[in-house]
Amino acid sequence: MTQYELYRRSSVGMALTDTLDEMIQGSLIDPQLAMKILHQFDLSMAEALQKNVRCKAGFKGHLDTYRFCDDVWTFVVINPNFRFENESMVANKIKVVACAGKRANETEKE
Amino acid sequence: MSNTIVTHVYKWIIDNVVENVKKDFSSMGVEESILQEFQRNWETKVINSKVANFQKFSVNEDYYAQPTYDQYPAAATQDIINQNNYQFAHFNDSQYSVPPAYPTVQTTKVEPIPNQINSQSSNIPQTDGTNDELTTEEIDKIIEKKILECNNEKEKEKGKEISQVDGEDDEEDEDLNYDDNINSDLDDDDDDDDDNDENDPEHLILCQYEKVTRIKNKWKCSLKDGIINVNGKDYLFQKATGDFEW
Repeated sequence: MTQYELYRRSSVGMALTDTLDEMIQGSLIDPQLAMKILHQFDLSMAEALQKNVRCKAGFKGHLDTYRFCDDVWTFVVINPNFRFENESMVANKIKVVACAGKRANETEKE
Repeated sequence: MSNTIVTHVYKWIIDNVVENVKKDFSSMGVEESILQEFQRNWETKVINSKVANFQKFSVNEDYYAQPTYDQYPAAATQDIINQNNYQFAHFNDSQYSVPPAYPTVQTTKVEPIPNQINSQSSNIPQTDGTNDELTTEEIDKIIEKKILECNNEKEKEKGKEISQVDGEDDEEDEDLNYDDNINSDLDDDDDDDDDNDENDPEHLILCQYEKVTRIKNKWKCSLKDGIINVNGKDYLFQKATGDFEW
């Protein structure tokens, strides 16, 4: 299974890192254990997205910036228009950070 | 709607992580109560992020219904209060000039860890008038320090403005406007984005790409396994397509 540290930047990941920071500061856990928890989060997140999510989405917009570096695509899209299954939404700007999701890359890394 | 599954998926992730790190906690000799506290704090933070409707988030609703200090013996609560008072003593001498909040306020906080509460107290602005424990001289000192800090900050900002004007002048150079080289306009834009990364609550999609293609100025991306954070809400997708015009 492909797992990335990328998702630590999500809301649930930030909540986790904040919690761990506080608990390290309070000497309740040591950084080594926190690293293990973060690694487990990467695994659990990958599993959750692959097994528990069946939604499709689409979005359009004006591409302001694109970048491809170290197998990571970054797009900044202006005025994106989102289509979810029964909902649509607009925003002024969104940043897309995408890691390689191909099986080929996975085997290369391993 | 992909927002409604967020609650379920996040709950699953938290439970799954907690379940899988149990052995790490025990092998490192960390008590089970710390693990429970870890889960409680994490869940509280996720709920407070309000990225989805978390009303049915936790099975243990009691955790949130009653302040956690009730679960601790009276002595422990007293310790927390004492430590807070100790913190005040330090506080008045320190360089921080924000007046501390009352200890009674902090004991009703959900998080039971003394250190955590202390670290938070420095961030809570006092809204209930001046602290009676301070003498007039102490208050005067705090105000003087605050004014000095404000002045210093203003001067720093002035300095920044001057250096920025220099930068903008460079951008008006015609040569730079029309090429894509390093330090050109395109690069500047990128840099600005990075600078804002930590400060802006920007809308963000974290995902994996399967295919990114471009025909002239039209881009098409096939994405999968993504988390979208837009307008303060999270959405999840298994597959998504992005169509952009550059």
